[in-house]
Amino acid sequence: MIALRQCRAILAIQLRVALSFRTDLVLQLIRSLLSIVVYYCLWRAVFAAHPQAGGLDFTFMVAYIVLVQVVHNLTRPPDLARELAQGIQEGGIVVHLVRPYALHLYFLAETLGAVAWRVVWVALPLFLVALALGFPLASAAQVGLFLASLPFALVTNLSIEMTLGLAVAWLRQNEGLIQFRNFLQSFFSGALVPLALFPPPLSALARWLPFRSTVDVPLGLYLGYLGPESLMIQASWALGLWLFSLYLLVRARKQLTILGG
Amino acid sequence: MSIRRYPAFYFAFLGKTLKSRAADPGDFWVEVLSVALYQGLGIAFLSVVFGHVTELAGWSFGEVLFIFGAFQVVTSLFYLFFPWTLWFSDHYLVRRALDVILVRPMPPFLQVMAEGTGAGLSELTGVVLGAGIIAFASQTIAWRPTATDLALFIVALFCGVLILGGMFTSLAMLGFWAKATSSAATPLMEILEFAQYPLTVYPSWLRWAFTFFLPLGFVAFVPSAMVLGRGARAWVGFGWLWAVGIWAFAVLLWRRGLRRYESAGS
Repeated sequence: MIALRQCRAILAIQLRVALSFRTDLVLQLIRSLLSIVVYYCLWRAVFAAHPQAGGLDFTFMVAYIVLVQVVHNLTRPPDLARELAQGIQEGGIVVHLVRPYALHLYFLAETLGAVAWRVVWVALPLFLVALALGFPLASAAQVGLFLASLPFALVTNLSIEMTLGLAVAWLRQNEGLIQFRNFLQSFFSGALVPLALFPPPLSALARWLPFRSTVDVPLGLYLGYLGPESLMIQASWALGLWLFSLYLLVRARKQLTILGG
Repeated sequence: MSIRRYPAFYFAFLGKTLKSRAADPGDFWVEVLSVALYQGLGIAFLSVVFGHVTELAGWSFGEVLFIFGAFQVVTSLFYLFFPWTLWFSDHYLVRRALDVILVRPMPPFLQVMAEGTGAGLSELTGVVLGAGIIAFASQTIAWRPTATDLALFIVALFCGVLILGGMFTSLAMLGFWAKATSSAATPLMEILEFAQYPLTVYPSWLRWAFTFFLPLGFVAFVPSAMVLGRGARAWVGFGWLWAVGIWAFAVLLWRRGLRRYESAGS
């Protein structure tokens, strides 16, 4: 109960903090729209040459590229891996450690604060654009499963982000790890190309990695190519990674020495 | 100081930056890794797409890869020479680093260029990898260039670098009038992404816009199309007109901006 109340208090602050970066929200919307335009044109050219490429069609693809942006905006945490790394290296993290709340809940609240504004400022406009492009509306059950999968995608993202940040307790820097994660996640989450278009060995590999939880699973549930059972797998990844990052935090705290000043 | 000393000055600055960068080779290698991964992602995308189609808007895999490689070379050279355009407003205007520049007896613009160059040195990786992609693509499509082709290609790519440099320099100069343009560069960097694919992918109004309004077509597509025998050489001449025009505009903004700049004394 106390944790919940703390979380609500931090969230209220984070909502106000995030609002002071209104330009960022507008820029984020512009970036997402530009990305949609590029991929719309590319996939139009692909499906013009080959209307049934990989067993998909252009309407599916339009929905896919829009949903990738929507899911990104609703589940991506702020740049916590670099923030945490800086905090650990320069000792600034001590501010959080001496306060009476769990660090994980703080970062969760920070993420939710950033995401909350993007619902109205980014996801909603994107959705309206999508409707204009001929976006297929899913059934209520599919929409329900899609919405249920978003929190798990968010927790998966957040756990990976915190794991990378905490790695600095053992490594000299984590920039290389972050870049490698960006590469793996862009490709194996299905954000760049639907997993259905992958060559078989790669799509098999993608199914065993946690990254698909962040894009492929929510999209599959909305577009109907995945069933409710994938929600269970996604939830297990989210829980497992969350616990792992908690464990890392406990270990990192023992590792850490910060001088008072 | 005479104009003959300028190159020596430029290299002295570059040497200084190199030395400070050499203090942390780890960072350099991490940047090399991220450039390689970023390009790898683009190639992975194209490979998956071409696993299902044989051509994209009339261009084969080899040709699209060729354009992609040219784009990597041009943008890497741009980030190598003009990274300062991204932080000009914040560093030189808001934090007044321009004060130091203005009291030194060298052309201010040369100093800004010289200070910025070393920052993106790992972009050289991008140039090398991009050239590698072009070489691989040339093998795939059995491209046999003559010496003239190669010379024209390099001249055209150089024009692309100048166009990008001029665009971002002009944008940075706007900082003299509006204090927060550093964020305006972000959408422009996103728009750059359009330039890495054949322009024929886009609807005609966008193709028109990328030729006559925002000359992104000249970054990679026009040079590649020309040497692959699929575009007229005259277009490269038109690209140079763009480059000269943009730089004339940038110089004008720079002169006016400097006159407008008031340092905060303290």
